[in-house]
Amino acid sequence: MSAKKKVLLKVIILGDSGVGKTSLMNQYVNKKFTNQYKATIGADFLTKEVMIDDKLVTMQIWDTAGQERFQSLGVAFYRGADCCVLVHDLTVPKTFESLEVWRDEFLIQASPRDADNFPFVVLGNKADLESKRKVTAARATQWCKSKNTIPYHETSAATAQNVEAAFQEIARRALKQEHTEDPIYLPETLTLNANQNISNNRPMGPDCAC
Amino acid sequence: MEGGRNEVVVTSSSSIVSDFAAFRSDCPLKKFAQPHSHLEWTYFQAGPGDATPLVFLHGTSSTAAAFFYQVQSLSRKGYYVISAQYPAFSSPEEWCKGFDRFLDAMKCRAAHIVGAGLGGFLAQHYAARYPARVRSLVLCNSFASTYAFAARAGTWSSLIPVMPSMFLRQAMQDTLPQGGFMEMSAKQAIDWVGQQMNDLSGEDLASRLSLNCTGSQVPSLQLENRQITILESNGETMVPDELRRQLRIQYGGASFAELKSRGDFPYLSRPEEVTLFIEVHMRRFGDFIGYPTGDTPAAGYLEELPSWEDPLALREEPERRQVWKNPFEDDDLL
Ligand SMILES: Nc1nc2c(ncn2[C@@H]2O[C@H](COP(=O)(O)OP(=O)(O)OP(=O)(O)O)[C@@H](O)[C@H]2O)c(=O)[nH]1
Ligand SMILES: [Mg+2]
Repeated sequence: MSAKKKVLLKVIILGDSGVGKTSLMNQYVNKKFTNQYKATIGADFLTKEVMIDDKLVTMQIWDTAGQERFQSLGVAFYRGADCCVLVHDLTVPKTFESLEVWRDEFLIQASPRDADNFPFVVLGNKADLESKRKVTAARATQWCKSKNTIPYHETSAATAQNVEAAFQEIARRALKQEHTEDPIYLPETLTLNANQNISNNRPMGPDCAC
Repeated sequence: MEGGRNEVVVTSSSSIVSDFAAFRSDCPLKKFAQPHSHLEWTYFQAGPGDATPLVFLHGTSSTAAAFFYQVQSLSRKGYYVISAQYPAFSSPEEWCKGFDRFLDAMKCRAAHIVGAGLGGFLAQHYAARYPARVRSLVLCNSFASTYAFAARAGTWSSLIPVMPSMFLRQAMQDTLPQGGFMEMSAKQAIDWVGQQMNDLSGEDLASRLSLNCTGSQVPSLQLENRQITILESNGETMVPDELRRQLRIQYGGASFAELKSRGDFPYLSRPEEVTLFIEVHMRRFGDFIGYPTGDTPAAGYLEELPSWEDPLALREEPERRQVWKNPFEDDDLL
């Protein structure tokens, strides 16, 4: 009965400064884009509800500062993540080369149970700047393949190209990862009775908040 | 000792008990006797006393100890933290006057307040009446109106003042979720809160139950919504859905953080998660940077950091605001 648990997916976006992490999140959640760059300070989150295969889930998307690698928020920030999005700017090779470091950093901090199978998604952003492209899709795909086949998408936060689809994939992968980490408490005296509403089975007294 | 549930035992080996013992060994419980009254506040205090404090206010069934994990971890990160336990007041108005005295006694001009349940409700009352003293609010599984509780309690609440404390204690124990499917850590938190409750006087119990069950609505706040963070546990809590929804509507532009934690006491069952959200909340204000001592970023790295202007001022700017416009835009509940 108290299976009324809502599915909450924690998604963390990592990548070098300026690759477009904030822009991607803003495009996805608020459908807005601005050319002006303002470095993100620290980390912050936005919430979006999405339907995945007829299931309503809440995505809590954490945008981080590319300039502040170790964040000082500590491991609690990474803990409980259900998917990690690695973003590079496909016009700047250095940002692509950093993905390895971001990935390693994430795995060290989050220390997921099964590191090999933890869901990552790689986004090659600024796909609208095709004429300035420096990182080919083949090169990116190759790297993703070498890391236990991470899905790769090319996006543009500016034109919204592929943004929705990329986040759908992110949500889908996060949902697969999401599971109850804590053992469930079952009181010894609990008798399973289909007609019994457990929460109404309390002794009399006022209902109040704790 | 009086009362029915002293024998409540921690059903599973709980780390809360030992963690709290360690905390108590270097953080004494302090007292402030309110002048011209018999009222006494108790509190834990840690961190640099010259900063604007982060004041924690517990809910109906808890004590100052409820936030010991946050007092410990946030003070280590450089925040000035006070977890206050309020004595028995007869109304939100009286409570506000008392809390104002308490802040005077702590020698702080203003505070960031984190309130859980009833504590959050009272914090909103205070913010409405003493706006100059409240920098920001974090409301954890809280509510802005007690009418739903009043309706449920019915005539019961009028009897509270004449009830023997043994009965009140039992009633309070009974409001804690007793069983069902829950996280082990949530169950441990409930058991621990149940034990701590034995330290409360009959007068405390009566006051809290009647504050909780007497209909009252928080007046409108001068605080801007972006100065408010709402934390909510995943799934059911003792706060009815209608009140949870109402709070979110009332503070529509607030930062709304859903926790992975379940149950009424996430600050005890998954302390790091609650601490993280409080820290993120605090980073929106210029008061603190809060690098953990002994865990400062590598040399050369600090220089790269953008300077800490008042992030609130930053967020005045249009493109920054858009990000924050309405976190519930896609919330089907609204
Ligand atoms: N043309 C183009 N520009 C983009 C795109 N995405 C982001 N930008 C621009 O790139 C700059 C940096 O974008 P941000 O989203 O702020 O980058 P960030 O990764 O959040 O950077 P940090 O917060 O410093 O880590 C801004 O000027 C954006 O307008 C895109 O898809 N196409
Ligand atoms: Mg950014």
